Amino acid sequence: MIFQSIVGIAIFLILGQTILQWRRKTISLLQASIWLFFWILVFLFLLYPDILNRFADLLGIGRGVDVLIYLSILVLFLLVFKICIKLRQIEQNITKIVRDRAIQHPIKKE
Amino acid sequence: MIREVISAVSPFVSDIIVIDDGCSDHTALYARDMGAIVLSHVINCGQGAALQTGLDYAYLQGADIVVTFDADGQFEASEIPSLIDILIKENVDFVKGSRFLGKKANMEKYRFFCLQCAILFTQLITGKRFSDVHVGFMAFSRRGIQQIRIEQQPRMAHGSEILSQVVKKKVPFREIPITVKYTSYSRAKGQKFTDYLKILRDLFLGSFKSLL
Repeated sequence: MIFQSIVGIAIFLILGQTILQWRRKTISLLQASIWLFFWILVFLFLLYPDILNRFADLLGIGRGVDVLIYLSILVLFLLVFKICIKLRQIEQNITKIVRDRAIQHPIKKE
Repeated sequence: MIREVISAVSPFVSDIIVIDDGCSDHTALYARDMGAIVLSHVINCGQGAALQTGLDYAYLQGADIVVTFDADGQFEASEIPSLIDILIKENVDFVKGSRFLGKKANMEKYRFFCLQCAILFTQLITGKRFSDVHVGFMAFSRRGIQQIRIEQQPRMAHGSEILSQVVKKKVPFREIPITVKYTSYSRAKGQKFTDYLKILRDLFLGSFKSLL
C-alpha cells in the first residue's frame, strides 16, 4: 500500500507538471495528451493490477509487472536512439554555421 | 610547428589556406603572419569539416587544383608536385597519397593494425580495395571538389566517406606512394583506437537517420 501511495502521489505531480508545461506552451497539445494518457494509464494499472495481469496472460508473459518492464525498456531504448540522432543533427547544424562563418571571414595579412 | 609546415609548402603552391579548427594556441596568428589565409572554426568541428571548409573556400576563390596537407609535419612538401603532375598528366580528378605503396614507414604495430582494419572497412562499404585510407595528403581538381562532398562532417568518418564518394560518383583517381614521417608530435595527434569506434558509430547513426 505504501508503494502505491508514493507512486500515486508522484503520478499526480507529473500530471500537474504536464498540464502546467502545456499551459506555458513549452509543449504542444499533442505532446501533453500523449504524456497525460501514458501517466493516467500507469495510474490505472496501479489501482487495478489485474488489468495488467490479464494482458500479460494474453501475451504469454508470466506477470503483469514484467510486461510493464519489457515495454518500458523498449520505449526507453527508442527514446535514447531518437535523442542520439537529434543530437547528431544539432551537431551537424552547428558545424554548418561554424563553417559558413569561417568561409565568410577569412583572416589574411593586411 | 605550423610555421615550419607553411614554409616547407609555400615554394610549391600559389596560395596556402590554413584551417584553424577551434585551436586554443596562436596557430592562426602564426599562419596569418606567414602569409597564409586562415579560416577559423570558432569551435572544434573535426577534421572532415575542416577539410570541407578548405575545399569550399578554395572552390569559391576559383582554384583549379587543391592539395590537402596535414599541419603536423608528417608529409613531405617536396612530394606535392608529383601529386599535381599525376592529376594533370593522367587527367584524373582525385589523387591520394598512400603509405603502403612505397617504402615502409616506421609505424607502430598497433597503428598498422588499426589502419588495416580501416582499409578493410572501407573496402566493405565501397566495394573497392584501396592500398591506404585516412591519409590527409590528397589533390583535387576543380571537378573533383565539385563531386566530392564530405557530408557526415562531424568527427573523423570523412576518410572513408571521401573514398566512398569517389567510388560511387566514379571520380577518376590514382593512388601514389608518399612518405610519412612519424614524429612524436604527429603520433600524439594521430587517430587512436577510440576514434575508430566513433567512426563506426557515426556511420551507423548516419545510415539510420533516414528511418526516424
